[in-house]
Amino acid sequence: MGKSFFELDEPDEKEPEQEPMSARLAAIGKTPLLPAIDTAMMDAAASPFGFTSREPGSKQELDLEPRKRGRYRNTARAKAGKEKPKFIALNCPPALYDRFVGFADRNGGLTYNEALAKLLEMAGC
Amino acid sequence: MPIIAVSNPKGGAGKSTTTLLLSTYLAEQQASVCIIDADPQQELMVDWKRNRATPPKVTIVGGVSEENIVDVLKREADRHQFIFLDLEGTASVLVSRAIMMANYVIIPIQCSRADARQASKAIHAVESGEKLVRNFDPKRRIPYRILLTRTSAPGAPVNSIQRTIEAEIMESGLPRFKNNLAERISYKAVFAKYMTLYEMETLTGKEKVGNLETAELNVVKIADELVTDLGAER
Repeated sequence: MGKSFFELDEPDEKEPEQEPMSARLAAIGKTPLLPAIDTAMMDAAASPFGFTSREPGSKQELDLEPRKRGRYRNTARAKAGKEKPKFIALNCPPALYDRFVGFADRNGGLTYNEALAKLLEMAGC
Repeated sequence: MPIIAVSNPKGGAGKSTTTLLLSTYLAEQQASVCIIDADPQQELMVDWKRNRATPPKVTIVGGVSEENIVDVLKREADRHQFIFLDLEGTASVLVSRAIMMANYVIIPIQCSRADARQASKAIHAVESGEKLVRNFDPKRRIPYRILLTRTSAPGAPVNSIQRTIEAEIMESGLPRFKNNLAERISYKAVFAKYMTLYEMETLTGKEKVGNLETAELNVVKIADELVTDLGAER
């Protein structure tokens, strides 16, 4: 403790001496890894904040519950009304296929007809 | 073996620079350190290792994907004292899975609105991840801190954007490093010369990089805050 002008005790401003960095690092022990959590649960927790799969072809299982009836109320399928669906099949290069599947995944796991409808909307068709 | 994730969904926020500077400093202090390069698009760390004249003191692991990130982390965490995760600059499943496996998250942001906005995504992912992992381990925390990067050097004039963002972070009460990582030529040189700050001390003549001592001190101060936090988490 130092003495001030008025001879009153004052705390010294010296910072307490720290251990050397190497000793502090050595003292940081093992941190337990988190218990095994299903990756689908991790993905479901992060999905509302925009964290989606960026790897083409790795469609994520983001839903924890099975899809319910009525889910397609606002989808392309519903918009098409009760018309009998038509079938499209096409061969395409693998890279194009991956881009298309990746697009569907990145947009919240769209079905392929939803993804096609979205692309057409984006193109103004 | 704390897992330290360095994350901001925005590219160019200073994630790789922060990772390399802190990890090489800890390795200089005799710690066993591993960097997991979890940016499959760029693999800056793998590139840095590949172009070096000698192997680095830190272990660098690449080839990470959404599918294998959890397994790679478990494997390397058993082998090393500290794991740094250099995460890609997007909001991907790889990033969110890695954050949920982490024991500490550093969120670097440059002083810009875009960086701050994207950093909030990382904060939300950490907070929701923490809630999820607490279902399995009620004591588990994922502490995080914001690190301002590419700021003016201490003593130099601070621009109004930096002042505003620093004030907003303080007002919001978000945890942040007291020290910023300043913009310095030597930090760019680490990538350009494929060397650590400490290895560059040996350079002479035209190769010499200036102000290394100040640059090193800046890293030491941030590492000191990090190690204090990690020690407190034990």
